[in-house]
Amino acid sequence: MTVDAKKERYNGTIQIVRDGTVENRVLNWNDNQCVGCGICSDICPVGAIEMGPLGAIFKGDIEAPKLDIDDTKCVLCGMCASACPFNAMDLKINGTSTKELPQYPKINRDITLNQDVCVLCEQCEIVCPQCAIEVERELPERKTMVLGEITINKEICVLCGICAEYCPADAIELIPGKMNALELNPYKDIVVDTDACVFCKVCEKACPHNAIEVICYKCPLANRIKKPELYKEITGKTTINKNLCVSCSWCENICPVNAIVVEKPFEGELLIDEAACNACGACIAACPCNALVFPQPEEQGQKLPKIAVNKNVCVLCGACTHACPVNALEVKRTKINMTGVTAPAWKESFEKLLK
Amino acid sequence: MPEHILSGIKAIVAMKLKREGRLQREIAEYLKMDRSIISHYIHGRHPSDKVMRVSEEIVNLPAEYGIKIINSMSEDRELTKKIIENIYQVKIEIERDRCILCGECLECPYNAIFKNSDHLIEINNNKCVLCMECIYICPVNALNIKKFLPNELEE
Repeated sequence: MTVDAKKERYNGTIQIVRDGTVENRVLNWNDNQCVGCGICSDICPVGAIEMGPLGAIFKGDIEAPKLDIDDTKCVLCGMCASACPFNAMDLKINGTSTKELPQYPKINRDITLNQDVCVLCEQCEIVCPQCAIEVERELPERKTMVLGEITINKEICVLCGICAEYCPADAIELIPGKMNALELNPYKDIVVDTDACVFCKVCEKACPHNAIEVICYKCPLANRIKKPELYKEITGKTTINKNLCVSCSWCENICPVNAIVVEKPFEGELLIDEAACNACGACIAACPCNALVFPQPEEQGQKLPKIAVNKNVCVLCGACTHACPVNALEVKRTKINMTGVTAPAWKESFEKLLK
Repeated sequence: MPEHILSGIKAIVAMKLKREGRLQREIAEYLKMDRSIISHYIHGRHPSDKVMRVSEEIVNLPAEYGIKIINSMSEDRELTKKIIENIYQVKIEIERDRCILCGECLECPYNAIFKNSDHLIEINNNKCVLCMECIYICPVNALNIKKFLPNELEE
C-alpha cells in the first residue's frame, strides 16, 4: 500500500508530507538556514536532492533556491535532516523532530559562552559572519566618571573667548550680544556646559586673566572624593543565536578573554587546486564562515595563492566545493563529530561524507 | 480457470505433505479443503493433466515469480501464504545494511512490519502473508525473500 508524498513549495521553503496510516512524516527545508553545503545531497540514499547553481546564486547573479527535492524520489527517510549541520532540514515523524529522538544520529556542534568571563568587548558581534551574536552593554554615564567643578569669575572675565578656543571638549560658549546702540558688546555672557566639560584645566591655564578655576575630583592632587570604580558599573549581556551560528569559531579565535568555546562538526582539511582555480570568487561568496579571501600582497614579488583559506574558521561544510565552477576545491573530512547512529545503512551513508 | 490451477497447486502441496508423513486430516485442515478431495489427490486422482502441467510449471518457477502468480489466484492470504511457504520455503527478511528507515514499508496492509525501540524496522513473519507489497515498495531493496531451512517451517 503506497502512500504518495505531497510536496509544497512556499517562499524559500520546501515541505514534503507523507501522511501514512502508521506514520505521518513531514520534511521541511528552509532556504534561509541553508548554507548550500550540499551535505544533504551527498548523503541522500535515493538521490532526491539536487543542488542549484550555487556559484551564481551566491555571487548574486541569479535568484534561485539553493536546492530542490524531487518528491517522486524522496522517501522521507530523514537522513538529510540528521546530516544537515545547519538546521536547514528537519524531519518530523508523528510530530516529533528526529533531532529530538535518541535513535537518530546527530552531527554535534555547539557554542558555549562563559558570561562570567566575557568583558562585553563586542568584537565577536562585529566579526560573526552570520550575525548570530548580540552584545548589549550598559555603560555608566560619562559624567559619573568625570567629576569636578568649574567656575568662571564673571567679574574678572573679559569675554575674550580664548578659553573657548582651547577647550578640547567644546564645553565653553560665548553668548553673543546685540551689538546695537543700546547694547554695544559683541558678547554678553560666557557659559560652561558641565556635562561636556572634562575638567582638564586647559581653560584655567589659558585664561590670561586667571578668571577660571577648575577642580578635578579624579585628579589625585584634588583628592576630595574617591575615584569612581568604572568596571564594576559596566553591565550587559552577550547572547548567541545558536540557530544562526555555523560554528566557524571566528569569535572563539578573537575573544580576548577566551569566553567562547566552539565545538566544530568536522575535522579535516580544505584543499585548493591552485592550477585549476580561476579566482572567480564564487567560493568566497559561498563560504558561510568568511574563511576564504583573495590574499592581499604584502611585499612585491611575493608569490601568493589565488585564494587563501583560514583553516581556523573553516567548518569543512563544503559549500565552496559546490559553488566552484571548476571543482578546484576539495573538502577532506577525517572525522565527523556525531553521536547516535544505530542503523548500519545510515552509518554507511554518513561515512560517505568522509573522504 | 485460476481456480483449476490453484487446485492443481494444492494437489502438488497435498502430495508433498503426504510424502512428509502428514495425515490426510491434517493436510485437509491445513489447506482448508475437504478430506475427500485430499484423499482423491493423494491417490492420484488429481485435476486434469493440462492443469497439472501448468501447476508444475508454476511450482518450478523462481520464487519471486511463482509467489506473484499464486497470490493472484486467491484473495485468501492465509491459504496462499501456506502454499507459498510449502512450495518455496521462503520468508521475507530485512537487510539491515540496506534499510534506510524511510518507513514506507510500515504501510504493510497486514501490520507485519513495525519499528522496534531502536527505531529499526522489523518484520513479524507470523503476521506476514508474503503478499510482497513491501518488497515492491522498498526504495533501496532492503526487503527480500529468503529461503529458510525446512525445520523452520514448524514454528
